[in-house]
Amino acid sequence: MAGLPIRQEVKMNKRRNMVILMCIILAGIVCGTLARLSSEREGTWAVVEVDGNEQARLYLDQDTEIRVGDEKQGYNVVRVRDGKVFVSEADCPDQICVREGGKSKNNEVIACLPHKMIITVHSEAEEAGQKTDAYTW
Amino acid sequence: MRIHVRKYAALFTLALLLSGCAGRTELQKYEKQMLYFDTVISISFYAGENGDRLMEHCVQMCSGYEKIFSRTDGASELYAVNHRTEQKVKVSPEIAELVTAGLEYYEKSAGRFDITVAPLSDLWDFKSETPSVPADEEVKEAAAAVDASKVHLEGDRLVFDSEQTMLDLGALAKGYAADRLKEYLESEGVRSGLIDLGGNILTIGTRPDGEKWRIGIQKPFAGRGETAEVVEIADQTVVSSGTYERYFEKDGKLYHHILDPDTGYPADTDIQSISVICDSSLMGDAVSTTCLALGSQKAEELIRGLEGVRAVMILEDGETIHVEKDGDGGTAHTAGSEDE
Repeated sequence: MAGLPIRQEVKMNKRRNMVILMCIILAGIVCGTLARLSSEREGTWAVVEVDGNEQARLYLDQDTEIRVGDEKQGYNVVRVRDGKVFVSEADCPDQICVREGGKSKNNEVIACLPHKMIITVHSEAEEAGQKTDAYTW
Repeated sequence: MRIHVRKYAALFTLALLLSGCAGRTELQKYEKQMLYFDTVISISFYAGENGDRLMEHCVQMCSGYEKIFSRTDGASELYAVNHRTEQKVKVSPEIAELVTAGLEYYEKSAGRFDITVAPLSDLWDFKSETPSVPADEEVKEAAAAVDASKVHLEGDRLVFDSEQTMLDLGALAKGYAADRLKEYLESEGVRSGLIDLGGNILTIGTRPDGEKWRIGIQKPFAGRGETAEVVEIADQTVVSSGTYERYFEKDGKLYHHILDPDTGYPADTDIQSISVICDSSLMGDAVSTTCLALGSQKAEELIRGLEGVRAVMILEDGETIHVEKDGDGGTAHTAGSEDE
């Protein structure tokens, strides 16, 4: 490059800077899109816990069915259908968890006191736009 | 050139220092849902790296209080008190404190708030899948066994005048536990948090963004999470009590779980829901239950006489009343059906 006139060298540098800048912007767009896609994937999920221990994490955009516990200690069948999580079957005496129905909103809870089971719905997007922090009842 | 290098080095060091400082004060949200006190409880707070340890301690505290206050667990302290063989029983400071608070509100409510209501609540059994109206003689018999004036605290001992007297501290235990959890978290430096013990809300400081916490009041007899109104609080508690919490209908009549110790039947009240806002969750628990049993007129009088307490009452006819101590804004009546 030593042979080039000064003015031309400056021009080349400018072009190179432009290319680098474009690359950075492009990389930014790609990273941003990827991050958004992956967070949308994580959108809404339900955590199933028994006696404080996490048993499963179910994404609500995917229909599934799991069974927690056993015939001896008592069991709950947890299902995901049409973006909602619910207990379809359980051998607890009060059946409150089954009657609770489907849940899909951030912080909604299904509890089975006899089996010490809790299902909590988490949604990052909803949490950000939430109007209230808690409910009193 | 030399100067440039130095400049960059200085900037770099400054950036490092800044990020280092920020790293140390960076707070993280810790949150946990659990089943205690016969309900779903949730504890969330902002803390540094020690957050997990703090949460673990909170869980232990809840489990400890359950072992003291549970009326059904055969191994609990309260169970032992209720199944006593002698009428003088040494109790823990926790039970002594709740009995003291219970007797205080027994006085304030002219006997409507009664920690010895256990025989009646057992008879009505609102938690059962198929609750029914018990026979009138049974109700009268159970009501006769309810009388908080037969319990006395002498130092660290409870003295009972009657063998039949049984304690139920359920109306106070959650409030008490919430206050103790907050006290502990604050002593560990937590400045922002929310403790939700089955709808009893106690806040620590403000939200992390400095705004007040926004708490929705459940609309009576509507779907869970439907709000009648939102209250904004910082460092305070909101405790609600309502006839809609546990009830059943029989022959067109509604039977709710707040029982009148005199008659043995559900208290005759025009309040559907009352949310009490104050500093102590134990006080909120006691005042909300007492007010529900008293009805709106007497409830208003009681709240106006209490320092630092305000309340939102939703009445049967749909009217919403905001009550505050005299001079703090007085009482505002708002006509009902202001649905969004």
